Amino acid sequence: MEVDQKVAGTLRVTRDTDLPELRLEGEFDATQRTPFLDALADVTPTADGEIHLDLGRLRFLDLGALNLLVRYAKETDGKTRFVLHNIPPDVDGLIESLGWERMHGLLRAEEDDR
Amino acid sequence: MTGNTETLSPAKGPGTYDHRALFFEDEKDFLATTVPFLQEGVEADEVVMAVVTPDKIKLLQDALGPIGQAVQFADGTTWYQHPVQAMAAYDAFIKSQALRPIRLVAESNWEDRKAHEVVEWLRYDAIVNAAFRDNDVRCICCFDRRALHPDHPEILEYARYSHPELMDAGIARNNDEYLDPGSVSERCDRQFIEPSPASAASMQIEPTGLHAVRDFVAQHAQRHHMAAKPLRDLIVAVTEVASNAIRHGTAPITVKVWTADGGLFCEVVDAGQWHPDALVGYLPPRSAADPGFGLWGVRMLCDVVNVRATSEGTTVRLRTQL
Repeated sequence: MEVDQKVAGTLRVTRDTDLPELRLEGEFDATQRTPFLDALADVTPTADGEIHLDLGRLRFLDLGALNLLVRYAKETDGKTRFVLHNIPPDVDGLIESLGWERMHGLLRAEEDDR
Repeated sequence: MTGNTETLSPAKGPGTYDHRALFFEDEKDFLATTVPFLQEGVEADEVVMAVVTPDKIKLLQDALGPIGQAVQFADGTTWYQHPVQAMAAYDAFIKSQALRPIRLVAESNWEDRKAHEVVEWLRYDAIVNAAFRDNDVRCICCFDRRALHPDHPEILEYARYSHPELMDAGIARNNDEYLDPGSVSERCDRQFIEPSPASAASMQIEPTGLHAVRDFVAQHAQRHHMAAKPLRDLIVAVTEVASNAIRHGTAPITVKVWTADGGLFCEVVDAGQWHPDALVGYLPPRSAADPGFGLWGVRMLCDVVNVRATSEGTTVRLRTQL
């Protein structure tokens, strides 16, 4: 994949009016938390506490990002859950290796169920 | 041979954690202790498992007869490939048994261990005491004196540090040499490791330069034909280690990469003196929100992780098989 060197290593988060409401594109590591947290601040969870994220164009996600998502879900009110759509194979493999049971508050979107 | 009833008494009550080492000389010796131990578990309707080498599975099945059908057998050569992953597998297994008492006969495959693996397995045997001490688990770790690696006499020495009770020639006794898991882990950290070679490729890490670190390491790993999955794991691991060095360490921070003995080494060095707790990063965390999750994840994703803090700085070295 061709990567524009100016944006290499950055995370772009776009908002959609439909679900999933946040689309993540690029690389999500400790240097890229601000764009995510800024976008997240504008999102109102659904009535059952869900925030839907589209990860389809995410090239990299680190352990700190998983820690951030799980902590956010836990610390908000314990009801918030991130529903993950279009999880890239590398991210999926990483979460599988470390165990979905440790990812409280993260769910695979139903249409992605295998 | 002492009667086996004596070796297994006094029976411990529920909720106890019991981790014994059995040193044996031959099959007869092995069966004399393990068979009654497993039988007693089956009769008490406990979860009974043997994670041993394939030849010992056959031996136990033959000796147990029909009662052996109530014993779960797993191939130790598959189970014991990676210490931190093996501990996570036991953690998942214990949690899946809904608080039923568990009885386990375990045997690692020392014969094929390489030097860099031996020390991590010795550490593992100590850290399980911290990981599972609140569980109702009784485990006998079996050491076949004939199969122990001749270059590693420390295996028996560390087995004495890591098992509160020892069984030798069928006799159980309290072990005065037992050390707490953190002390054993620190001893393991003190084992000599070669310094990074002068020929290692190196790059300085900038506070915002995590992408550059990934690029640098990936290029070197690809040059050495690292397969896709270990490469993905290494890139996640080195990003975490570099993030830690930026957060806790002191500049300058450097990443170095080199190959040796069939492995790719990747080392992050900073000028600070941070050091994680001796057990953090080994115990399986309950949640990705836990403080030790990052370092544990790194240990899950690499073959070996060494953390060293000296007066000159802190070094975290990752090894990935090529």
